[in-house]
Amino acid sequence: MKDIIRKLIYIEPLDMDHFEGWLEEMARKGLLFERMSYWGVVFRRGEPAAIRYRLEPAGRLWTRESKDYCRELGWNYLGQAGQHFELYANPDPEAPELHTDPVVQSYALDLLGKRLRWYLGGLAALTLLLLAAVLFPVLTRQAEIANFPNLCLLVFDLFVLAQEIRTYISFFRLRRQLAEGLPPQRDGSWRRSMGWRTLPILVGLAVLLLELGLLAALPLS
Amino acid sequence: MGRKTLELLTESMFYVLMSLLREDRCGTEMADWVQGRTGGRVRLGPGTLYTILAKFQEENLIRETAVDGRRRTYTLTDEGRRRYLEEVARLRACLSDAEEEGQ
Repeated sequence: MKDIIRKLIYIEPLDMDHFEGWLEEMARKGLLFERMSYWGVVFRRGEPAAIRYRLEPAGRLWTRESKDYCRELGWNYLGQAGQHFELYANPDPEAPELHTDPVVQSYALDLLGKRLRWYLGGLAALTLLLLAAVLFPVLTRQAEIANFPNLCLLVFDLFVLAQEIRTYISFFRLRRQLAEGLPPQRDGSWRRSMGWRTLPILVGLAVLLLELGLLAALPLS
Repeated sequence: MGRKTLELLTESMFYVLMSLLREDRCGTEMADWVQGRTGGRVRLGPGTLYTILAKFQEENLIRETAVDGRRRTYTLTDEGRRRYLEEVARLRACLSDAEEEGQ
């Protein structure tokens, strides 16, 4: 049996409570987080354990005193998780949470939230450009939609975009809940999130197969 | 940070201000003091503690007075003391209303 297991990322760290819930479920099955790789998460096989995983915006706990305090309470720094977060883990069920006050945790996400709004704006602008580039020739009858094989790719792009937006919405939903004083729920709802993330992969494969089928059907002359 | 001012102090924020009322302390001393003062009812996780300290510095409620190795010591500013006393008055009013209404 292999000791190192690699899994594609189906849940983005930005989808914070779902990502944490997924890692905790993996640990209960004996797959312990080792590190993030470009394509996904690397787990090490070990004893099933009730480990708590928590994401913290990168650079927030930067002082040596804060790092010492984390260690003192059993919160081990595991490394960077995605572009925006650092990951901490604690195997001690009695240790206090990394965040013991949801409202204060919402403040910790403020700066990241501001940055994400800019990303989201950029993403929306790029999508509008893409749509204009694809649809303009069709609308001005310079190209017919039936002769436009990239339409399938456009559909795929829109699916991926919808997933990105869904992840961002998930982040802002959590921040709003925290600001209202509600602690994060790390229940089994990560499964639904993972299902939504899998959908564009399936759509992508379907598009690829369709394109290959169209290519195969073309005359060779 | 996005939000401009702290409209209400949460319990952990209130106790952090209280911990600085009589003497300057570093972060871990504040956490220990709050835990002792509340008999373990209020504990400050590292994420919470250091977010509060950053937010309070930004709002000019506390000020860093010394850096000694890993320890950073903080003191209450006049604005911090004013916010603390304002919160005490608000809590007193709440308690008074509750007492008048009876058990």
